[in-house]
Amino acid sequence: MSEQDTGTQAAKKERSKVAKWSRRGFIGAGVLAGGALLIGVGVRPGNPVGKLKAKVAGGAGEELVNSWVKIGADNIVTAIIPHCEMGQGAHSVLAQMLADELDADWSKVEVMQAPADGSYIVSDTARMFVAPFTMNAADWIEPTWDGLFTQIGRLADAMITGGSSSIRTTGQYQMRIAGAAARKMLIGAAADEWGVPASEITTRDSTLIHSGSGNSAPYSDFAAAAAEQPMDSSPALKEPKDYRLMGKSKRRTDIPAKVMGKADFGIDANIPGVELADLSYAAVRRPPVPGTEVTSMDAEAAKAMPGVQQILNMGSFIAVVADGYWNAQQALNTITAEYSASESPIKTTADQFAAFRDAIDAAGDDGGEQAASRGDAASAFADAATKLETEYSAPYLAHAPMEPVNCTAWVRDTDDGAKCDIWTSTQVPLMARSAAAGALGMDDEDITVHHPFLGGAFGRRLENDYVTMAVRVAKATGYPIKMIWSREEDTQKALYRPADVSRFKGGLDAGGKLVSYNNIFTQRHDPAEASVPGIYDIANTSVRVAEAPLHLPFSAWRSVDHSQQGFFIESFIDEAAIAAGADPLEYRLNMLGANTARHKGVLEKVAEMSNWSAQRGEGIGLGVAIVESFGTVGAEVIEVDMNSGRPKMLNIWAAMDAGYVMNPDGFRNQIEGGIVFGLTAAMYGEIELEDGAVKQSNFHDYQMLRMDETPAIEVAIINSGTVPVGGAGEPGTPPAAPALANAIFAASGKRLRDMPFAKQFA
Amino acid sequence: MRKFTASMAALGTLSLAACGGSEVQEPVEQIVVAKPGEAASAAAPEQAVPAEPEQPAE
Amino acid sequence: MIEFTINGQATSLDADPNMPILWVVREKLGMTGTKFGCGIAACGACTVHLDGEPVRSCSTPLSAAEGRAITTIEGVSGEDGELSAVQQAWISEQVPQCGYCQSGQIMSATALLRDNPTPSDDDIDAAMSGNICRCGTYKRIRQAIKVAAGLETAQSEDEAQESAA
Repeated sequence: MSEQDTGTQAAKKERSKVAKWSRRGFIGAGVLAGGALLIGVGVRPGNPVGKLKAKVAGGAGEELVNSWVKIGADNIVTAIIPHCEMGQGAHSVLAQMLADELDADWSKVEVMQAPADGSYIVSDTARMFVAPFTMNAADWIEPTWDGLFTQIGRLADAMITGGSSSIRTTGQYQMRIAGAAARKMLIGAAADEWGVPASEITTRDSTLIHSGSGNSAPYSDFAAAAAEQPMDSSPALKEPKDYRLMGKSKRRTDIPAKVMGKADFGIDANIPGVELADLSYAAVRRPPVPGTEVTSMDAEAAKAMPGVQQILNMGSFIAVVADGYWNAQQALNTITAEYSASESPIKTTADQFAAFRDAIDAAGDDGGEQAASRGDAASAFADAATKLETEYSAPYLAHAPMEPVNCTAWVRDTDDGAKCDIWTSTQVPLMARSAAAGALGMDDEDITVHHPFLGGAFGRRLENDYVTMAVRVAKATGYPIKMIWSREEDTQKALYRPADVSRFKGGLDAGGKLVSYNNIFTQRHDPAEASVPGIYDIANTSVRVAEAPLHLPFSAWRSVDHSQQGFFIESFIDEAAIAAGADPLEYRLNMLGANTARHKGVLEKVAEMSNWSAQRGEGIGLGVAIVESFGTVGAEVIEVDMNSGRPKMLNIWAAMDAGYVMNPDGFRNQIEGGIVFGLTAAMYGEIELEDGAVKQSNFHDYQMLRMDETPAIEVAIINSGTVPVGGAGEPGTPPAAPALANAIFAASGKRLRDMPFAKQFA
Repeated sequence: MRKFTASMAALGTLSLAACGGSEVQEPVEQIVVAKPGEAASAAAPEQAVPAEPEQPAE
Repeated sequence: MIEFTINGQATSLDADPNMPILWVVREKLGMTGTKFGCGIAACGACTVHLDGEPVRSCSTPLSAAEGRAITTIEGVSGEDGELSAVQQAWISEQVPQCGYCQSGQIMSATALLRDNPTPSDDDIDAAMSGNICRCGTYKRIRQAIKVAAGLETAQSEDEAQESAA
C-alpha cells in the first residue's frame, strides 16, 4: 500500500468522499403483487415491473429484494449483473462488491446475467463517458443528473460493457449501494419482528443477529418482509478497513464451467424446443470492399451441394443456409459474385497512408483542429537548442476475438404477432435489440435478446452489424438459423482500429529539457484526452488533428485511441530523452507535471521491479513507457534481447495504480492479458489493403503472440486510494508497444517508428 | 451533442444505430432448395477435403 | 455409417465422412465444449484427442475417426465428475479470461503431461504454441501446467488474497 497523495490530490479525494456516497443510487420503487418491493435504477411508475420479476425471480419461494439482488428460500443470494462477461471478470467482482456490502456468505452467492431489459441500463457507465464532470456532483443537483442519465441511458439502450468501466461505475455506484440498501431493509424487517432497535442488529454471512435477545435468522426468513421496509437510496457504505470481500482475490465464479467445456458462449446457443438436428446454419459473405453491394451471384454449384436449404442474395451480403455450418460454408465457397464499384479512392495501404500524410501536409504549421495548446510551441521550437522531428505510424487492426462473430436468430409469427429471439455474444444487448428491430420493422418489445458469455470481444461486440445480418436471414427463412462467420470473414469484413500517422517537432533547451512539443495526427475518436501529453509539464505544447478519411470502418479496439497515441507519445518522449542524453525513466520522472503523485509512484515502482539502473549484458536493453488511461496509471518496463538480430522479449514489469483494486488476482490477469494484447499488436498486428480489400485473412497471416514468445510478466498493484477508482481491462495495453520499441532501441540502437515491429527484422 | 456522440464512440456508437432510421431490406434473390429436416444431402459430396488429418501446428 | 467412440461411448453415425470432427461433435452430437476458432488448424481452439493424440478437429475429417477413440473436453474429467489435475490447476491459477480457447488449451496440456509428466519451459512452449489465447493468459497456462505436473504449488484462494503491493 503506497500513500502518496499530494496535497491537491488529498483535497480532491476529500471532496469526492463527501459527495460520492450521497448519490441517489436508486430512483424509484414499485410494489409487486404479494407485497414484495422491487427497487432499482429505471424502475418507475408505468414500468413493466411484473414482467421483470418473472425474468429474474421466477423460482419458488423467491422474493425480489431489489432488482440487483435476489434472496432465495435456500438463503442463496443471487447478484443480478447488468454487464456482460467477456473474460474481464466483471460478473464475479460486481457480485463481490454487492455481497460485501450485503454481508452475504460468499459461498452462497450466485451470479446471474441480467436480462436484456431497459431496467438494466448502466446509466452510470454512460454518464462517466458522456459527462465525467457530473460523477461527483453536489447533493442538490445529483437527482437531476441521475434522472437525466437514466433517461438518456434508456433512450440510448445503454446496457453496455466497455470502457473498462464496470467496477468503477456500476460497481461503485449501483452494486454496492444495492447491497447496502438490501442489508438495511433486512435489518429493518428483523428489527420490527423481533421488537429490537435496528441499530442493535448485526449481520454476518447472510445471517441477521441480535445478540441481546439471542435472536438470529438467515436473510431468507426476512426477504419478503424486507421488501416492505423503507428503501434508503444513500445507505452508509463500508470503509476499506471493513471490507471482507472487496480487495480480496476471490476466485471467479465463471471459471469452473470454462474448464469443463460447459460454459455457453453465443456460438453454443441452443434454441428451446428446437431439436439439434432441426437447427439450420448460415454461412455469409460480404463484398470484399467496404460500402459495396452484391450486384449478381452465380449459385448453380451451391444448389447441388449437400445439406443446402437456401441461398440468399441479401444485397449487402450473400448467405447460404444449410443443415450444418460446414455444409453451408462449403457451398458458399463455390458461389461467385459481382460487386458494385467502390467510391473510395483508397485502394491500398500506401493510398491510406498517403491520405494521412496529405492531410497533415495540408494542415501546415497551424491548420487542423487544436486538441491541446499551451504557451507558444512554434516560437519555442524556433528558439530550441536541439530540434527533433519524427514521424510514427500505426496500421489498421482487427479485434480477432477467439469466438468468431456469430448470431442465432428466430423470427416467427405467433398468436401474439411477430416475435424474434436472438442469441448472441454482445457487449450491447439492448442496442442489438434496437438494431434487430430496425432491420425487421418490429418493435423492441417483440424482440428478446439472450446474451451468454462472450468468447472475447475487445470492442468488436459493441457493433451490431452481425445481428442485423442474422435477423434478416432468419426473417427470410422463417425458421431459426445460427449464422457463423468464418475466421476469414471475421478478419476481412469487420470494423477496425484505425491506422494513423503522427508527426512531432520537439525542441529541447540547452539543458536538454523538452520546452516545445508540436504534434499533429489524423485520427481522433476516444477518449478525447488520449492525444494530450497531460502528465508532463511542457511549457509550450501544440497538439492538432488534421482529419483524414478512413477506408475501413472504425470501431473501438481495446484502449481505443490510447492504442496508437500511447505508442506515438511515449516513443517521442523517449527520443527526447535520448536527444537530451538522459536516462529515459529519470527524464520522465523529471518532466512530470502537477497532480502526478500516482505517475511518480508507478515509475518508481517499475524501476525497482525491473532493477532499472542495473547494467544489462551486451545486446540486452530496457524500455519504459507510462500511460494513464481509463482512470488507471500504468508504467511498464520491457527487457529485450537483440543478440539474435530479432527482438526476444525476456521480461515485462508493470506497475499499475487504479486507486483501489477490488480483486487483485483478477486485476493482474487483466493487466497480463492487456500487455499480451499490446505486444501482439506491436510485434505482428497489421491489416493491409489490396484493391480496396483487406489482405490478411486468418491467424497464419494475422499473427498473434503465442506461448513461446510471451515473456515472464510481473504486475504490481499500487492502491493509492485515489477516487474514483480506475479500470482494469484496457490500461495494460497502451504502454506495451512503446516500452518494447524503447527497449529495442536501448538494446540495439535501432529506433522503430512504425508498427508492427517483427517484419522489420526479416 | 457532438460531445455526446463522440464520447459514446468508445462505448459503441450509440448514435445512429440506437435511434433507428434503418429500412427493412428484403432479399434481392432467394433460392429455396430444401426445407430443414428434408434429406437434402442426397447430392454427392464432391468437395475437396484434406485426405489425411492435419497435424497440429507447432 | 462411421463407427467410433467418443469419451468412451461407442457411437455410429450416418454422416458425411469428409465433415471435420469439430462440426460432427458440435452439431451432430451436441457437445459444444470444443470450439471453432479458425478452420485451418492455426489456433488450437478445436483441439481434441484422437486415440490420445491431440488433433485439430476443424481440419480432421470424420473418416479419420473410423474405429478410433475421440476424447473431447467433456471427457477429461473422471467418471465421477472429478476434475482432472489439469482442470484443477486451471482453477487454482485462475487461468481463463473469456475461456473460449481454454478447452483446446486443456486438451493440449493434458496430452503433454501424459507423455511428459515433468515438462521443461521449452517442452511447454513446444506443446502449447499451437494454441492461441487472444486474452493473453499464457503466463497462467504455463504456471497451471507446472502445478498440474506437481512442479509448482497451487495458488490457494488465501494466497491469492495477498493483495496490493
